[in-house]
Parts: sequence; structure tokens; C-alpha cells
Amino acid sequence: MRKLRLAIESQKLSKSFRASRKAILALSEVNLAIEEGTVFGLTGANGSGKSTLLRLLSTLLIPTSGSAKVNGYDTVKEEEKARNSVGIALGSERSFYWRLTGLQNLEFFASVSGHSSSFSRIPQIIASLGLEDVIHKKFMTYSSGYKRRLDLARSLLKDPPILLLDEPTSFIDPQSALVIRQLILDLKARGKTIVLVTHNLTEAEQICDRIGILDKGKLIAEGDLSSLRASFPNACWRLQTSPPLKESDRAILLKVEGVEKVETNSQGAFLFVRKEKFSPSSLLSLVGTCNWEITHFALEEPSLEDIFLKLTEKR
Amino acid sequence: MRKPLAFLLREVITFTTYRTALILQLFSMVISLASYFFLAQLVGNNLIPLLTPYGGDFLSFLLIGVIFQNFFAVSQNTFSGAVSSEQRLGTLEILLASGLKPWEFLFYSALWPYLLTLLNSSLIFGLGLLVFGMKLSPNIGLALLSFLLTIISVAGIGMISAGIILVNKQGDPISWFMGMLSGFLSGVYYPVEIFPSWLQGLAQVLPQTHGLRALRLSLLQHAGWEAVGSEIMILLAFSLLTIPLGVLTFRWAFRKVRRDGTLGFY
Repeated sequence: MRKLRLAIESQKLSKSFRASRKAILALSEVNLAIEEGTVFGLTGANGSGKSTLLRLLSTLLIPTSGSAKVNGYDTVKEEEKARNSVGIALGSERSFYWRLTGLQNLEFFASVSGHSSSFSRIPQIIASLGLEDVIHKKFMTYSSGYKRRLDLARSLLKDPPILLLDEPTSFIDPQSALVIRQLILDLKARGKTIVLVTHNLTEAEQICDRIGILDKGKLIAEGDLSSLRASFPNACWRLQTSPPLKESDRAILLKVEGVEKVETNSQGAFLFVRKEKFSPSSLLSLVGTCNWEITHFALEEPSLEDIFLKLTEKR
Repeated sequence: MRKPLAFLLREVITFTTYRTALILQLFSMVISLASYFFLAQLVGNNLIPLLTPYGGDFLSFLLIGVIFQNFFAVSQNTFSGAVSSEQRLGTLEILLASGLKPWEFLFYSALWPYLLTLLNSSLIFGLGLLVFGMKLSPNIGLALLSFLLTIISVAGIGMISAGIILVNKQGDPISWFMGMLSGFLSGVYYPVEIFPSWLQGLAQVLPQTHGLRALRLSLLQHAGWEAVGSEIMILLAFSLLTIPLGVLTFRWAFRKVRRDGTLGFY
């Protein structure tokens, strides 16, 4: 296998579909560069193109234009090698044989994968996902959590260097979600590259090295959390004073340049500002003229949810 | 060998979980066989002039037609059936993403239907010979060659059907047309010589017609190359035509659904 720094890369990757004689753009000129051994979180509203991107990377779809490489292999020109480099969990309950047990399903998919070592890996995969108690039961009896665990187990059979996981923790119990998150971190520690599609932004903050935000088929932001925060045009400062600020003090604070909104509650005043215009020193001068004693004044980092909502609003 | 065995094992496990269907299928087979027997009793040897080339025994003529038509029907329908079934189950995308090649998927999916038909046909054959007095005078080599070439010719058409189903999801005009025509025209239940000449001409466009004729002559009359050689050459021509067409159609369909994003749709 060729050793590469980038596990996944794409240039102007686009995909459009035809529906009722109209072309619908599902993905528009997406450029990606995902390093080996990292977890890349992909988030976006429903229909933003996340699953389309996963299907393009797994060769299940052919791009309309642009190109992508996984593990150094072009997904169109070297599709077989690219396909063999990827394990995919589509998150669909319908992708298993319901009258077979979990183990029979895994053995079947291990056999058809064509990787001779897949079979011997099954017991270890079952243990890593806590599937021992249900593995001899028919798939049709599985809970949603166990179905997702088995989906993830199947994606590991080939021991691929790259894993594409489509919402593996959605709609499942907290225990199953925890098992899956822990496994993702273990896989990362073993040098695997993981693309994790998720709507759970807290989860993305916790386990992803870099995060991409898709909106209407465009990758509108991409980077690690600190760079996403740095590029965020707004900030929130929390101010606590003695005596405590009152509702009537909001008008005074709004006079400071760059302050767009002020909310007050028992924890103090929250000042929503535009970073480029706001200067903390001008606020401190104002506080001095009002004879307020400052007990707390700090920047509240925006969460990924704040960034996501801000970036995707009114688009 | 692991891949074809995996497909067979999956089907055996699934099949045995539907016990009622299994028992009903066995009953249906025995009842069909009994029906053919009584039909043969009723008809007697009244069609002797037309059956003379095949030995004159209606039951033997009928059973050969029914048994091999079952195999041809599997060749015609099993590939499209496999595509349709995996689409319905939602497993087609993940199967093809797992590293399985499209042609492997088609052929390994067909193993179980062929095996089941072989078991079914062996039972009918055995009962026909031992209980109902079926008369054979076989030329095994030519019968086997005729059988394989017919299976291959019809499988090519079956691959075209599979390509159409992959794109259309439902409604395959080729399967429908061939299913209608082959039962009626290829001479499963009666010799094609019973038709008016224009229908006899139409029957020649079906590989099944040539296959059944060659099989009956070689199995019932111990016919040699001089009697069935022309049918075998026609079947070879059909094979050389339908297999490349089937491969090209399925390959085109597979690319089309990946471009359209409908591979997993049903």
C-alpha cells in the first residue's frame, strides 16, 4: 500500500441528479484534504449533501465533475482499489439480511469482501462493539442500537484504512452511542482515517480533529474547532459587575461600538459583538464611568452549534 | 470458493426459515407431476404423428419439456430477480461496496435457484422414470451440450433483463415477453410442429425451442450429431450473441445507476 499523508482528497468534486427533467445540484465543487489518522466530522442540514459525499468517496456514485482520491486511488479511474480501501456504514437498518443472525450476516459479508483475513477478525470486532450477547440472534430481533453496532462491525471486516460512517450514533441509546464513540477513538489511535457524518455537534466537538460544514451542497467551512472559532465573525463576552447589572443598563452597553445585542440574567450580561468592530478596552472605559465594579469579564467561546447556526442562516 | 459458498449458505438458511413455503412447494411439485400423468392418460397416443420424431410417448415428451423449461426460466429470471430482491432488501449498495464485483453478484446469486431447480427436477425425473413409466434412450453427451448452450443463451437474455431492472426497478419488458413467448411457443407442452407455419417460424427465434428439440431428440431417441447438430450450432450462435449483449447491457446499467444515484433505490 502506498504511504500517503492525505487519506482523502477531492478537487472541485460535484454531483448533480436529474429529477423531473431538472438537474439538482447535490454537491458543488467540494475540495477536501483529510490527513491520515484523523477523524473528520461532516455536518450540515438534511439534504446538504453529506451522504452524497460519502457515496462518492465509496465509489457508489460517479461524480458529475471534479475528482476524488481515497488512499491515493482515484475513485473513478481506480475504483476497485479505492473501494477496497474503504469501509462504509450507511446507517441503514435495511442493509442486512433480517432472517440471518448477526454472526451469519458478518460471516456472509466477510466472505464476499474477498479479504481472507476478514473471517478471523470477526470475534475481535464482536468483542470491541459489545455484540457478544446478541450475535447469535436473528437480525430482525435487534434494537436500533445493536443494528448500528453491527453496521459498524461490518465496515471493519476488511480492516480498511478509511472508514466512512453515516450518522452511526443517531437515534440510538446512550450506551450504544458511547460504545461507538469509544471505538472511533480507538480506531483513530490505530491510525485509521474516519469521516464521521453527524448531526450531534457536541459529539463532533469531542471526537473530530477537523470539521466540515456542508450547506446546500457547498462546503462552507472546514477546519479544526479553534480555526472555525477564529473565523467566526461574532463573539460573546460575559460581564458581571457589582452591583449587578439591571435590565435598564442594556441601553448603556449597546452604545459601545461593535455591540449588537445584550442579554441579561442572573449570571450577568451577555454582550454579542462583531469581532472586527468591538474593543474590550472601550467597554472597560464605559464601565469605569458608570462606577460599576467588575467581578467577571471573559470571552465566551462559541460552540460548534453557534458557528453552524450562524453560518447556515439565511443562505 | 468462499464467495459462492457464502451465497449458497445464505439462501439455504433463509429458505429453511420459511418451512411452510418449503412444504407447499413439495406438494405442488407432486401434484403437478400427477396432473401430467393423468393428462398423458387422457391424451394417450393420439398425437403420434407429431410425436414420432421424439419416440411417440406423450408423458416422456411432456416431462422433458417441463423439467428443462424450469431451468430455462431460472436462466431468464434469476439475475433480474436477484437485483430486484437485493434492491427491495436494501442490501444492493452495501454488497457492491463490500468489494464484490457486479458479475460475481449476478452469478453467485444464481447458484441457489439453479441448485433448487436441479433438486426439484431430479425428483420429477426420478418419479417420472420409476413411478410413471417415462421412457429414456439418452445420448448424454449431446444432451448435456444442448442443455448448457441453451442455459447460456437464455442467461445472456437474463443479464439484459437484470440491467433493465437495475435501471427501471420494476417492469422488465424482456422478461415479460420471453416468459409469455417461451411457455407458449417453444414447445414445452406440445411439439411446435402443431402450429401454423408462421408461428413455427416465430418459435425459431427462441433459444428454448432449439434447446428443447435437441434435448428431446438426444434424451428420448439417442439422436446423434446428424440429428441435433444444426440445433446445437444455432444455440452456439445464440450464446455468442446474447452473452456479450447481456454483459454490455448490465455494465451500462451499473454505470447509469451510479451516475443517477439510484443504485439503492427500489
